[in-house]
Amino acid sequence: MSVRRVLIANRGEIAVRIARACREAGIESVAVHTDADPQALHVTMADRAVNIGAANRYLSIDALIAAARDTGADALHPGYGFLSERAALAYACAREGIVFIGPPGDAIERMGSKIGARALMEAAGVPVVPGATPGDQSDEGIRDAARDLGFPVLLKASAGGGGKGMRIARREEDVLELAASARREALAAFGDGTLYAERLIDRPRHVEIQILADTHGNVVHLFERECSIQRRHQKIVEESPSTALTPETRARMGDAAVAAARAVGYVNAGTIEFLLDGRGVDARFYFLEMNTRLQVEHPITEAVTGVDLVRAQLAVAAGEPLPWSQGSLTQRGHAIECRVYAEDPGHDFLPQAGPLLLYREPGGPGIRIDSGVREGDRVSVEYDPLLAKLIASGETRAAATARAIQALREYPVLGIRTNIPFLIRLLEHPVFAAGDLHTGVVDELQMTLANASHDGDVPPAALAAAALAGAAPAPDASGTVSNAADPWDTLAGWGR
Amino acid sequence: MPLLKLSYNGREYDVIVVDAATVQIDGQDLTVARAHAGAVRVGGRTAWVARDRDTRWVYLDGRCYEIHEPRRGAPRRAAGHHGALTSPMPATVRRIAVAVGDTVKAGDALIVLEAMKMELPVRATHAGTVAAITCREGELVQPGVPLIELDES
Repeated sequence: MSVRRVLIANRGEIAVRIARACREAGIESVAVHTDADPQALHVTMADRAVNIGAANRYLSIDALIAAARDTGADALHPGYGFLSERAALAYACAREGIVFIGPPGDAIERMGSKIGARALMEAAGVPVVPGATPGDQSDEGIRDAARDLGFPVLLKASAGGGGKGMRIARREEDVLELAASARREALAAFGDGTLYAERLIDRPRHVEIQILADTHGNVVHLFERECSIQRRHQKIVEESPSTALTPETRARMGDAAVAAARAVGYVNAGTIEFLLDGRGVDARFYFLEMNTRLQVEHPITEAVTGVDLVRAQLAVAAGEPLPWSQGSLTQRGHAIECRVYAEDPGHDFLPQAGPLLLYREPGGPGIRIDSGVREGDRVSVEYDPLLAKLIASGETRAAATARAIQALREYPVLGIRTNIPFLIRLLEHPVFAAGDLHTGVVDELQMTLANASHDGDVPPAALAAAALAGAAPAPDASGTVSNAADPWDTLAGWGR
Repeated sequence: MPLLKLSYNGREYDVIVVDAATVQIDGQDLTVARAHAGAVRVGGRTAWVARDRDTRWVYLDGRCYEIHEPRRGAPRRAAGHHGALTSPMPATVRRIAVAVGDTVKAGDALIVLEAMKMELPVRATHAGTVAAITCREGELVQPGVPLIELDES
């Protein structure tokens, strides 16, 4: 098996990341683009590019396979999002003799089914959130099952979701009454009153383990990433290591993740997501799901382990064995990733589109920017609003945080609203500094953080700077907006 | 000396450009200096600036400011027509749920926009009658451009 030419079936920052890795490894890269983004950064980073048509064609297996075939690509990297977790794409590649840079289709399928994956994980000894459909469905039977699970317990309709029939029982004496009302509601909503009882994890953390598996049966983990800072299941800030893990818990989670990967015959890079209940020596972890692809937040793992995950993906796809044993991998220092989104924190994080009139990336020790845009680009309504990722690393969490804040303050993005001011407020917040995180923390802090980003008064210095802002830049021949105007031009225009 | 009227969050400010190195705001002199293209030194700090039509963008100390130049006589972007509703962002018109002459209640979804895979309903701000529809289904619309006009009932 050899990999000489890779079709990158994605766009944005991850396509740029993959194109760079290919070039470093002496592998040719082929970008795809649509009618909506022919001049995007990722297109110019690859050796060649193919137009696959309408804006939604990043989701067309046929179009991507055709592009790979037409350009003689022998491998395909799906990136994340789009089709990356669709078994059908992996199968289509296999049929065409194209190496899919990811797991086999059947591993994707096994992890894609929530119920099936839970059963597989239980069989492999990976902890899952304790839960059961009690055989005795009487109120007393539900109560006994709840007592066995341990409180608080979540009761829900076996037949459906959407919060119908859902009740939280915090004490044993409440269960009889709650079970009766949950059953009535489930019956009314789904025509089936069967109840499922599950241990409720209050204020959980989201902690995931990166794994790498080769085609020779070797599986290693690359420690954890804490991704508790999220909004509506969209991660915003991730870090490694987690403030919640003891070395002992970390080792047990790593072992569980390796066991999970082995249980599905996993190959290449993947991530096992866990819910973490508590912190320190009392922490308990439960399997949530597996992401059968490269993660957005992979750079923080690269920062603390020194491993290039995309390069490792290419090597595994080419059939090479992993060059490390578990014992040779270490976690050093601390890394924090901030996702820079084109969205307006002041207006419910509404995605923004428009021109990047001025876009300057920060630098300095321990700062890495993975971006999919450049100054003059126009952010389109067609695609994900992730503009870039800022990864800050340092010897300690405090050092990495200070670097991230300083770098964000040197990261001007003008022309559209972004969440950069929000990210700064978040990292400066005492709750973040304390590392006291859970998946609902952003919702709890949102009002103060979002308002701080946009409301309030304008300082005189900002008005003075505004007075010197140049004239409106004219679009250049390619239709993109040219560089930000020089404020000196404006003064000249005033007949100085 | 050139006097510039700038507004932020609905408040107007008089900004006087005294000379190439001095800007006066509310009687206070601020020293400004060239940094590099797109950047200005104000006092001891760096601000980044860009201008798009009547909006001046400033990034200073981790905060982003959209400062407007009020255009005398010209309609404001978001309220160009009486009772006109606009899109908050560039978006595709997915569905138009009403027709001219329909009576609507405050809060009714009139138009469904789609942007970045999210549906955004444009809702009636008050009860009234649909006076005009100025967009088509499938059309890509820009922020501030009227989509639909309501007469008050």
